[in-house]
Amino acid sequence: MTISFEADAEITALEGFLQKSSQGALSNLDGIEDLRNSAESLLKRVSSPVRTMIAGEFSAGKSTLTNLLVGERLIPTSVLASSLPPIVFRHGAKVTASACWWAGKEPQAFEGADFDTLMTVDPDYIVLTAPNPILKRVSIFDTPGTSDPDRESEVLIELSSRAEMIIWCTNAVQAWRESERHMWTQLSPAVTKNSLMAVTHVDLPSVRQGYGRIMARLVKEAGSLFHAILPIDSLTAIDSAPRGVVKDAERWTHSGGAGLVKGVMDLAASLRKADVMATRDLIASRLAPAMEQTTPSEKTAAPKAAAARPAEPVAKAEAPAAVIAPVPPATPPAKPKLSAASATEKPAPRAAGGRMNPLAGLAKLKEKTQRSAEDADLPDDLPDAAPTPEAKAAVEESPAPQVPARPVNRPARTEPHPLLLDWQGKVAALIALIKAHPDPEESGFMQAASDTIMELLDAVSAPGVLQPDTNWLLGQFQEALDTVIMMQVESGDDVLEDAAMLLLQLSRDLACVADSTP
Amino acid sequence: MMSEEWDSVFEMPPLGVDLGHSRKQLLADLDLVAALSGGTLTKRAAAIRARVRNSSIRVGVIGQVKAGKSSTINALTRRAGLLPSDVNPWTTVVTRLHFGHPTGKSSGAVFRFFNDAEWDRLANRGGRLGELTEGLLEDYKREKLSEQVSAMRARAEQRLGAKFATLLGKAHRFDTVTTDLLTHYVAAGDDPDQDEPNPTVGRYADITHSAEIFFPQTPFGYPLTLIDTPGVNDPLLIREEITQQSIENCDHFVVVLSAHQTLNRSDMRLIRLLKALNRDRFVVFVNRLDEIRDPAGEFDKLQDRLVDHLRRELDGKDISVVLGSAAWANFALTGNEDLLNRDSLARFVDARGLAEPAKALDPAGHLTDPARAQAYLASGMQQLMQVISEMVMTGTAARTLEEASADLFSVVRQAVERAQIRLTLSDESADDFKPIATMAQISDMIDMVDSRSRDCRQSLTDATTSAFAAMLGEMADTVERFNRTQVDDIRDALKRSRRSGEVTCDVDPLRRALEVVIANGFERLRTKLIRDARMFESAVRSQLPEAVAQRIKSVRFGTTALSVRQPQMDALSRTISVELSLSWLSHMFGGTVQKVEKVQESIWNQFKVICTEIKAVNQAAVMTVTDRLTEEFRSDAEAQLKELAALTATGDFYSPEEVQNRKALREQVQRDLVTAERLVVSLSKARPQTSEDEEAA
Repeated sequence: MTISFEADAEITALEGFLQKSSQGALSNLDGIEDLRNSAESLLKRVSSPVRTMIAGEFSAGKSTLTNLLVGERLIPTSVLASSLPPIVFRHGAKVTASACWWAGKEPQAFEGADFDTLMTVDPDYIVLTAPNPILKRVSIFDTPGTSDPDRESEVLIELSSRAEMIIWCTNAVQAWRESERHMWTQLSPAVTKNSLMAVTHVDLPSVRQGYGRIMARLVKEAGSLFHAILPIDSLTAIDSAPRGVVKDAERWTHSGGAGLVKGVMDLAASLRKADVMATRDLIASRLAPAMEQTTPSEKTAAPKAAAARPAEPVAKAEAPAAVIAPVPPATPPAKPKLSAASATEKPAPRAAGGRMNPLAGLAKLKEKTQRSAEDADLPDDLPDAAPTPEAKAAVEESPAPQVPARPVNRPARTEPHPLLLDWQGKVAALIALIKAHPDPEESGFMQAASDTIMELLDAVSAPGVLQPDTNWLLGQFQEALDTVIMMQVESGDDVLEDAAMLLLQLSRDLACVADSTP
Repeated sequence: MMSEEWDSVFEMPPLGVDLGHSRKQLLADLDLVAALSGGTLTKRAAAIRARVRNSSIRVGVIGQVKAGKSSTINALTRRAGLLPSDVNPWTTVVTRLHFGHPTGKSSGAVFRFFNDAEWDRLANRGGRLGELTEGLLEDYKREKLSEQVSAMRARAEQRLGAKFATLLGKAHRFDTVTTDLLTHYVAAGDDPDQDEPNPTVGRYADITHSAEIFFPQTPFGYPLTLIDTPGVNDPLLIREEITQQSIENCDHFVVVLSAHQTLNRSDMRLIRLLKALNRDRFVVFVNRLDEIRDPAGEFDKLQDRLVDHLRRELDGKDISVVLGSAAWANFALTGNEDLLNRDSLARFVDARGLAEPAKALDPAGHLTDPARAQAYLASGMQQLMQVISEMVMTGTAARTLEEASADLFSVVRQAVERAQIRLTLSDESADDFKPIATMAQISDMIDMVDSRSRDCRQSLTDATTSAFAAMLGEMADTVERFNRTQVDDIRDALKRSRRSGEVTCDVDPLRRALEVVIANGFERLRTKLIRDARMFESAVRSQLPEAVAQRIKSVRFGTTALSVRQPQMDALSRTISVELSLSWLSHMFGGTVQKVEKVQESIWNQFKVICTEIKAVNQAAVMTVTDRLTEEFRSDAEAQLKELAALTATGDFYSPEEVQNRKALREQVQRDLVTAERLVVSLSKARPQTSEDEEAA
């Protein structure tokens, strides 16, 4: 028994196509590169993990539920509100943990997830990886350590503003109290509409006695607020399906684990529905015919022109992607079905829950700030965009540069890319905002920063905008977005500076890609 | 409900036993005073007696919904299963369990139903104040509250049909109480909106306003009223409303938390409310320890964390925290294992080393299952009872006894003097038997005391009035000062609100400042009143001929009632509503400046009402006391002077029969004297030495 995701079939098909088209007959087909670009870009979108927030009052069973979704008891749980920082879970080949800081410090990686050790270095946040396949579809944000009840809601509200879906934990013993309802009304409606309620602790005798009536009351009082209300005995569920592999089907079902994971997966899949629909469309109209065409036994080959129709990047005013990934002039700019689908049913702006580690994002941030500070080739408007003097000082104080692993081609400079110009304009406006107000409203700025990143992310993740060798940019932006979102949870003196530096770094990344484009 | 084994096995520290002894002694002494021969002292004794007899300890059990309040009460009173509890509570009834009611009622129950006025008050959050706080309460809550009250009323009408109208404002009385009966009125059953509700369970619950249940005073050492409240933080907001309204009538509290989640926002609000009420004599009971994963492992951490957190919240004051489980106690009492996780209990008993003490608890082995005695020790009920016992030693009941004892002391000293006068009177051969004053002179003296008392009463009233007027002015200044200093804070809060969607304005500092103003003003007034009373007393005395003054030395202006009185500041707790939410502000049109002004105006309006009310309540209370004390002095003096008049007018005062029975009378008075002198000795031993005593000595 495996845990399935609604888009699994499409993902497999895309992967299959990409593999087959990398060599052999299919790889020689006319326009196959464009088709591969389209497939790759869609694969990225469909399979990007849905950013999922585990929410609820402290000691509501959030961490235990997170452990269940991760498939092992990684986070320590206690009835005491713990003092752990926010934790992000990603998919990885094995369990690893990274202690991360918002800025100024190299992240520290650990084998396994020993929190006692992790906490000795006092991280701002923690990134955990685990091999559970569920994490390929959802990335999980948990905030276990908000011991101050007043701070608790603030953290949840901040995080909710950028999560894609939310699992609200309520303890069955005192389920859905007024304070929970109140906090719920304050979360971002964009995310609360994609929500599940997990009713925890249903294994307790006092709950078992009146289980049916508790659930009936919850349905009556909160049923309209959630996609589903799912009872869960998290500990039993973890034991019956370690690392996402079901060992004891009966207990897995009985504990509510099966229902909960299915609920999470279904909701996650529904959030990728637009992409899934586009994928189906692409497969039916283009990929399948292309594959048929190259299979000798098939009867009629599809008209060549149709099959070779390139994947057209979605035309957007703010994203004239053509300069980064120029469409071969020979190809007519006919609007393919894919683009139409994307335009009419465009998924909500999102950064796919990056599969990369924000740890790396922060590390690179430092390297590259250093590098670009020395770089005379920077676009002229960038120095203007430099943040506060303190931030600049921080830049100069950065440690010696570490050579980036990524090879960067730097051909002769051409006119700045429109996308880059647009981005730089926005960043400059944001920085000007900080300059204009000596005491800027931190949350507003962070909000604007993450919005800006999202917009660009959306633009660059359109099919065909990025090429295989510039694909890394997507990761950079995804990581940056993760970091900005995490920063919003943390309120510190340096947050604004850190965010500004992050934006500048993205400018440089973008400039780098634009420059490297022939 | 009650099982035989308990008394021998499940020892409880008897609550209020020391106070109980004092009370019993006082009542016995009062009996002796009442038996003394003649006149007004009997009346004085009867008044004191009524106060002592009506005194009881009122302990409110409060907490969030489903924290286990009813189960905790069941365990504390060793009446497992008495108060019904349910997974989905929906009752709104305040249940009072009276152990040793002043009326002597020791069984049965009275269920009182809502009347129209109470229903309205509930829906409108207390009328005038409700209007003033408009906007300060989350809109959702305001609407929801009246919606729920109407729904409750409609449901009751539907359930009860034609009977409904006739029940409003009435009560049902029963001679015996069963859990079954209670379920009809106070609780627990299926939500009537669910399918197929049981027609009898909860039949009257929607219109029941309060339930009074009567028990004998045992097993408690003092008359006790335990008050079970509906619980806060429930989507059914009426419950919160009723709990808040009932809090003002309790002396002490047991705040029940759930070990699953201790001190969340709602708990903190409750504790801040208690703090605002100056009811910080409370104990925190962390219930449901049996349900958490590792009770033994978490025990110390949980306790330390809570004590620490509360200390910070309550400005360094230490609050007792008891951890336990009502479920364990109820298993101990009944042997019913339905809610028991034996493994968890065994691990806890092992880790806390309770096995041996449990054996000692039941040496004879009355309980076939040793786990029951262990569960009893693990339940924390003994510690909880111990803490409550310590708490009540300094509570209202203790103050009532102290005041009564002071009054009684004054009365018996007068009794001694009176007996001495009478002895002199009855012994015509005594050397000191000579007329002190003429009948007319005594009559003039009585008139003098009368008119002086009237003046005194007036001057005490004037002093009180002006002191409270000054206090009100000072309170207004404090509010205004707070409002001024808050401008920045409110602006910041508004700024944050864009981030969190909610503004809370912390008026706690203002509340504390007002408390200081009130307490200081009250203290100044108290000192002044006591000084004035003393001056009045010596002025009266100086107006009397020395020989007369010597004879009525025991007539004193009692000041204990003034010294033990505490200012009443309950109204301050209503400011809690400012903290609820100012979310309406974020929807308000206008800039920050206007919003800040609006918040300030709301604070001002609310506190104006509150300060005026506090002033009125306390002023009236103080005046009642000064009036009573002045009148007591006047009547005591008059009575004693009349005795002296009898001494003066030999032969006139006693009838011929009495003269004939003089011998018998003398013996009687001698016995009175012995009794009264003995009482003086025993009472002065029992009481702490006060300035009043010193002065008298």
